[in-house]
Amino acid sequence: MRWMTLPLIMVVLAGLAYGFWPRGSASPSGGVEVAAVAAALGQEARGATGAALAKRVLAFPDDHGAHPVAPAEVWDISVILSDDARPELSLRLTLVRYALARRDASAGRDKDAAFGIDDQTANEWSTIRRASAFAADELLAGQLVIASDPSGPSITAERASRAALGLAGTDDLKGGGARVWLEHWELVREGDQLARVRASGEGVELTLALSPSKMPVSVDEVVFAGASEDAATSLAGYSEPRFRVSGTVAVAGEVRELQGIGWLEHVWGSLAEALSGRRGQLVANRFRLQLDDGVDLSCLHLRRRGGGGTPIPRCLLINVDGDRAVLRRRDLRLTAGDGRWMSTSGVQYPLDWRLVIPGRDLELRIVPLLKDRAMALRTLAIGGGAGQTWSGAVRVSGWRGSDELGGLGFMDLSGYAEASTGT
Amino acid sequence: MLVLIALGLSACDSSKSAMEAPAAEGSVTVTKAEPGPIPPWPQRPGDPKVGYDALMNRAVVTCGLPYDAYAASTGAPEPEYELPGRRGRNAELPYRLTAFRADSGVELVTSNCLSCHAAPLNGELVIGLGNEFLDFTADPVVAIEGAGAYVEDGAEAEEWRKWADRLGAIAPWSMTDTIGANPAQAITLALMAHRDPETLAWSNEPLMALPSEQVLPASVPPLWNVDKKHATFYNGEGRGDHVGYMMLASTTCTDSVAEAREIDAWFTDVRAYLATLEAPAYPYPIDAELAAEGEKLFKAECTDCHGRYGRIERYPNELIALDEIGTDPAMAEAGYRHADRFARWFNASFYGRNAETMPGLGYVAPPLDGVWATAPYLHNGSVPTLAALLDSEERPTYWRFANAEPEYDREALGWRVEALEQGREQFGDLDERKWVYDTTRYGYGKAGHEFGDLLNDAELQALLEYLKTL
Repeated sequence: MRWMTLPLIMVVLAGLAYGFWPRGSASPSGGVEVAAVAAALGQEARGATGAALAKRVLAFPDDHGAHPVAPAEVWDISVILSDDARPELSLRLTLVRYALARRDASAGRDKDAAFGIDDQTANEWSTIRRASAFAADELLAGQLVIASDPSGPSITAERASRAALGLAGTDDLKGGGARVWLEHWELVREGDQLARVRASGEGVELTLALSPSKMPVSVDEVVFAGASEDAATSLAGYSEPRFRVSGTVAVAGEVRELQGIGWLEHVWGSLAEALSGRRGQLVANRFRLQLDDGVDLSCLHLRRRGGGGTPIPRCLLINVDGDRAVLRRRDLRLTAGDGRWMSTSGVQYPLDWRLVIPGRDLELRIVPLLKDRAMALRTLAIGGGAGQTWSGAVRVSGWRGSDELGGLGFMDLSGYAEASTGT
Repeated sequence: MLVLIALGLSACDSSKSAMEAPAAEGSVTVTKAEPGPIPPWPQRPGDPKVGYDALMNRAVVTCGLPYDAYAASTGAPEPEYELPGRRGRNAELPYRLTAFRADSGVELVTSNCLSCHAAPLNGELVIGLGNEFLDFTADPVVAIEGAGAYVEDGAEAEEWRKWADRLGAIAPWSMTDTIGANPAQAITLALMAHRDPETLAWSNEPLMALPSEQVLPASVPPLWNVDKKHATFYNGEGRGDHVGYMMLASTTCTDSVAEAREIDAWFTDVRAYLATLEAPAYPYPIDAELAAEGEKLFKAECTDCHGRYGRIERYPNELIALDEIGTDPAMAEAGYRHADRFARWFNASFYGRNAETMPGLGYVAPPLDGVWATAPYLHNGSVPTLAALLDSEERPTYWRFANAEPEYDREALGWRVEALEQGREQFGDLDERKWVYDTTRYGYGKAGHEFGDLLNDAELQALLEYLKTL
């Protein structure tokens, strides 16, 4: 099933890297021309071998931290928050670490092995450390998106910085855990039980505490839904499908105490497939759904770009107790309804979906959480390639048998621009 | 994946026992057979050497996955067996795949006849031996569409889309839920439903009612009996020229009569080659004295239906009525019931121009050459061993192969199996369920052919010993 792996690698990062890459209007930060660097890295990544990661069991809290020999690494946290007074607010913080230059391949070899990266792969991914404090081996870039209905705040901010002079970087914490920061954006992991997100700037001040409700699930399972069990992949990582979240979000001086749920993903490896924006003839959608009864679903919907053929849906169902079940095409129906929303560039997105899982007595409808559909559009522009994804929060409603059931989640829809242009 | 065996057709013959069914449309008639002997039909001559070369190197399924995508997605594994005469790219491929260059210039890889009609036996690949360990339980759509991840734009993408569209259209009929249960018959009927019989043009929308998605299981029959049989298929419906039936896998992608005619030309040689195949000899010691005792019993009890073997051979080509043979009727009944649809299609098509299908309510007693190697038994593969076939009390209701790889049981004569107390439901995991053969299911029944029940233990052992010699 090796064929199954690569398109899905593309898909996981459709939800991660797409949201990160700056659009043309993004302002440079820290003296780095973000779009230019991103374009150059995109070219390099496409030339990378996508070397395989040896299969291994994830080890925590070490794996919460950075994996320096991997050419790229993504931390992505998606949160939906609310208080008693107002409707929901969605927040997504994506931090990406890129290796910039080559270094001595022997450096960090022990850690490479601990991360399941073999010698050959480490050589391919290695960079050369330089002595100057101004020199940077890595680039960190990120995006913060806060979206709410028209009466609430809406912010999209992007940053990039060299990992030098304390501007940005990754640290392992004493006693376990890790810290990733990009100027005034920070994700801190303290052991396995707590995460903190802080961000300031662009008129936003936020501090969130996140407490995981379920054990991490490997990226093979949660994204590939078991499809890559017998495959070597160029990507490793994990997903934590449900956090309890609480904290403070201040936008333009208005401070709100909010609670909600979140979903964190952390992957590392080669982003070559992701940066191509597609894989061969395939594009994909991804759904991450958190149901009110405590069940979480991570679903993929692979299809041909340009239309036609038979889409391939696949889900991983994660029960309240963390038990998981893979649901294949014949176990479920994941279909778009008739409703379409057209962006100003003329791309039509199906934003009304139905997920039916007969064996679980589940029948769900998935629609955007917020009225402003355009807020969820993200543009990828890498090395001459281009793509756009609709990536936003969703509301889930439906039935488990005769019981009404609701939920929240996130939906990433990719490849519709090509279908619209007939390519 | 696609196969030589096929359908539930019918045709006419000059047999006096045939009764003609009214034609539903046009002038094409559908005739249904009565039980009894099947008359011979002259087969077109061909060159066996040319046929072997074609079987090794030519594609009957004329669409496929671009080679580059195949190599990228699979890692291009080395062939497990070396087949003499595989040339060029084919020498690099597993035996079940064939490479060819399409008119577009793209090199494609596709399944060939050996996918089902060759199987390992004692470490060697035996051409003509049906592979009873094939797994059709996986969802083919996932593999077919997923392969698109490795396909480049342009001509490659066009070729992949054609291949994926065709296989996607027949996907529901390409699946069974039990290891070894072969869906070739349902696949072929579904393909027919998408083609105009006269022009062979493909239609994405079916042109007639599709077959039932309740896919009936078939055991893959050995091909070394081709020359003995007057008709193809378990119910003997494949009467007339056999080549048209044998090349039905081409209905996957062959979109014109001209293309079909080209395949027909070399498939005549393939048939000639298959007619030269001989059954493999039993590789373990045989008690000649006991076998001689068994031969007497065989001649007394079995010859009328299964024929004589040895110096003077005779094979009666007898269609045995369902109520006499008593084996699971589903396959024969389906062929008979849907004759006006699929049989009519075949008879009206290029494939049936030299043939006439004639389904009847019965099954042909097969030739028993190499029968020791062709487990499991009956048309649906419901009886795992010859010992169980000759003693109906010993047939397990639920069973599974003892190993994922064939392991021969020299006592019972068949692949070693494990009888189970319960059916598939005891296993929550689909990967375990698929190994359970459940004879209580529709089309999977183990009943019938109870002629051996009258034998005592000594007679049974003697008969089994004789069957090793065939």
